[in-house]
Amino acid sequence: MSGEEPHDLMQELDLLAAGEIELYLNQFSELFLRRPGEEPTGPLVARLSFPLSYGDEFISLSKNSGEEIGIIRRLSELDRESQGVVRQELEWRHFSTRITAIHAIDVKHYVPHWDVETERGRRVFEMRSRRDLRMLGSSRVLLRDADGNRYEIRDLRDLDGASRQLIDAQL
Amino acid sequence: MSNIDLGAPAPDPSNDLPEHLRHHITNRLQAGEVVHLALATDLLPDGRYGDAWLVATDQRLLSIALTGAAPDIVDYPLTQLQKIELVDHHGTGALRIRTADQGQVMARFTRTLMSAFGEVPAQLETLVQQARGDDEQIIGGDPGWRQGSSRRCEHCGRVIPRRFGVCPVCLETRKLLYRLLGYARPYTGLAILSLSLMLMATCIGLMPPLLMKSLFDDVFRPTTSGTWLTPYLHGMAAPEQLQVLALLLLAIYVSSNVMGAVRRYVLAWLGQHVTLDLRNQVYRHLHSLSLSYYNERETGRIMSSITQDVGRLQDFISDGLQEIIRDVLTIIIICSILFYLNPTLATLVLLPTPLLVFTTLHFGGKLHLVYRGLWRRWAGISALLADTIPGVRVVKAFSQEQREVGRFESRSAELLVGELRAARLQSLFSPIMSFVTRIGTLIIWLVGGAKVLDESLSLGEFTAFTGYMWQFYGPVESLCRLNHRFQRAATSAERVFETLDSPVDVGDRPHAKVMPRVEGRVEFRDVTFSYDEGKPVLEHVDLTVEPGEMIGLAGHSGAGKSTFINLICRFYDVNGGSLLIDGHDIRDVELKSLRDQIGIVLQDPFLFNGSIADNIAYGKPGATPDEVLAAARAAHAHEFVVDLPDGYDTLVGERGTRLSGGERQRVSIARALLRDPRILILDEATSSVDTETEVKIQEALERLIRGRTTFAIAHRLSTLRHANRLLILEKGQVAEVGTHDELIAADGIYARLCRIQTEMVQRKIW
Repeated sequence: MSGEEPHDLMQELDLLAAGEIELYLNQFSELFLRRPGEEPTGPLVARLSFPLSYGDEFISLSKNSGEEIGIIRRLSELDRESQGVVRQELEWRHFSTRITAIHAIDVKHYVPHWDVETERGRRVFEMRSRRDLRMLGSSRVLLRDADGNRYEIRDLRDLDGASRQLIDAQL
Repeated sequence: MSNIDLGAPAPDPSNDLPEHLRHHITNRLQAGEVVHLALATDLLPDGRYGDAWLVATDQRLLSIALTGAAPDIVDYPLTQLQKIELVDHHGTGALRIRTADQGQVMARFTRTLMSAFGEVPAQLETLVQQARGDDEQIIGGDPGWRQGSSRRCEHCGRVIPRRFGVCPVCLETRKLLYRLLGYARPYTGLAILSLSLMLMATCIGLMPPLLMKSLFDDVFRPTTSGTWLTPYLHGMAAPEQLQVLALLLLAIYVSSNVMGAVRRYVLAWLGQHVTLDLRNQVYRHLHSLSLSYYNERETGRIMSSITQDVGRLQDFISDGLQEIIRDVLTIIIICSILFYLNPTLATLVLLPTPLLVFTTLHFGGKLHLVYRGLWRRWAGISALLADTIPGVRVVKAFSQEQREVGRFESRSAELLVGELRAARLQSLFSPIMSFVTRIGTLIIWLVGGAKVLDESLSLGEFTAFTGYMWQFYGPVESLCRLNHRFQRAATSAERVFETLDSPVDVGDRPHAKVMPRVEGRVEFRDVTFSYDEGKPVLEHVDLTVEPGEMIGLAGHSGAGKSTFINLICRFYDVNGGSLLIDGHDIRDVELKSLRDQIGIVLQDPFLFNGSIADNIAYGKPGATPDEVLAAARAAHAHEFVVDLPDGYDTLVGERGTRLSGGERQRVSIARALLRDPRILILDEATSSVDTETEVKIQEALERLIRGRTTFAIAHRLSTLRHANRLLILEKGQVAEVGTHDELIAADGIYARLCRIQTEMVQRKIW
């Protein structure tokens, strides 16, 4: 065995060469991948490998059957149009809404109802328990409502005073 | 939101549409076009929250997004639709349609509306068929779609808080508590006894301030009006009067304490007996429930319903109710006495009571939250310890001690912050409470004192007032927590009754026969089974196994092998078809008489905390040592057992942790063999023993399976070489049946599995 180079673990990481691929939606709005001179592959599902810690890096592409066809290292390596298409797909999958202000947290029948302002507009949701409120680091907060919808407060320090006070009581 | 059942002659749903939407739609409808379905979504096509609708008429499907002044409307004639599907993107959902040459998302929605949209494809399909005027199928729906969610209450649709587990709104508190009292009914006499003792003790306990009044007004500074005791003390000298009063006080103290002691014991006896009945009833019922009950619930929840919840109910039945009666009574008596003594002063001294109630409720709520937070932090530390201490080998192996210490220290620091917060609140709460309770005294001094000076109040009345003030606040405070107490008891009652009310789905039928001695013919007749509705695990299985035959079950994980044997043991009842043993439908025989004749060895053998001998004899209590030894020898457990210092008397520890995996397995084989079962089931019985031991066990099994119908599941196909027939399951169906040679010749799934395993063995040899 000696003398032989140890197997480089990194070879196991199946990265797609971003320059050679193109992603697009076909006429049925399904995600396909095209390499020059090859038949398009699809329909595909795009998933984030680290939705919380690495955002739009390490995007896994797989067929509907579950077979992975590869990983895109960074979304920004793709051409502009592919980026847009993939970003939109990822958004529907990892749907998480950023909360910008908290209007009220009313507890009715032991269930807190959060009335919040978000990047997508105003929303009222219910929480099942405090376990669905998770601190990430010292100032990022992830929330999951009773139906499994996700919300996020990027930085507690960016909230206005009234919102801060409301959420501090919950943490 | 309006969602129309198409089966019934539905009212025109356009009447239910909001005004602003109806306006946009009616403009677009053609003459005679009828709206059949209108469903609101909560996402606009661009992902913002907003007002968007999916509307279906008898001719078209419309997607309407109400953005800005002019709505965004997309429509398709129903006749063009070829496919309607729900797409689960995990974070959101979408309803997508396809025509011959196009695809379009007609609605997007958050997870909140996932179940509301579940039926839509089927409804649209009906509309499309009606529009086309034919029965041609279009592909719609998605079998994997999430249906409903148990996080919301079935009755009111409200969110169920996790820590409750039941809907707090739909809790019929009164009904639950009434049912709970039913358990105390056999002990009504005792309950009345303890209640009357308590009431007497309460009344007597309220006497001392009155005696104090007499001490002042009859003995120290006799007043003209006197007290209720004056007639009795009349004609005595002051020292004698003092002695009488002291004796009375002694009598009060002695009698109230004696009554208290008797009452406490009676109450404990009552409470313990009620819970004994309840606890045993719950546990007995748990054992009559089928495995599906256990699969749907967390073990911790089930355990806590027996320990914690029943305990809380005891507390409520015995103490809670009586304390409430006592508190109310005390308050009434004190108020009456105070008003009798001096109405003006009574009104004044009771004025701070609302303040007291408010402070208790306000701080009580806050303190409760802080202590809960603290409790969570303690739980976090326990979880960390439970994680790292059993995993200490891994920690050391990866030399991560420093990091684990760091993790602990940061949790520890968090705990400190929490404790200090609690201490801060507590140190604020206590002085405020004590101040509020002293306001009453302050008023007595100021106003009552002034009354004493102008002689409209006697000194005795003054002291009695002070005395009663102190006895007044305790009951008020405890009544403030009444709601919390009721709620807690009702929640516990709900959980306990939920268990008690779970129907026994796999049980003996009314006229179940005793299963005669089993010959061993097992027949599956068109058996279909699913754990969750809609996802069949076994489909249309037909099979006849002759007595004494050995059947080897193989197939991929999840193919239905374990389900197959679960059905033979009748852990679950089949959903379709029937399963017969010796011609008896197993649903028609007594469960115990059936299972008594089945021996089973599981993949993960579960041993109970006890000696090895106890564990081997588990299925046959009262087995002789000879029998235990014979079974252990047959299972090749004997060799390692006699090597242990305590032999068969060795305690195996919780779940048998003191034995290795292979040793546990051999004990469990012995356990199955000792029952002399007519049907033997081996579910991966030799998966965790080494090859040498496996060969030995195989030899033993070979002798033992003779004359018994045997079902064996194995991943290592060589284990199955003695099987008379092999049964290959694939996606819930019997894919191949036959002997090893037949199946190899057929070159199907089994042949492929065999080839892969042989290759692996050869590679290992290299």
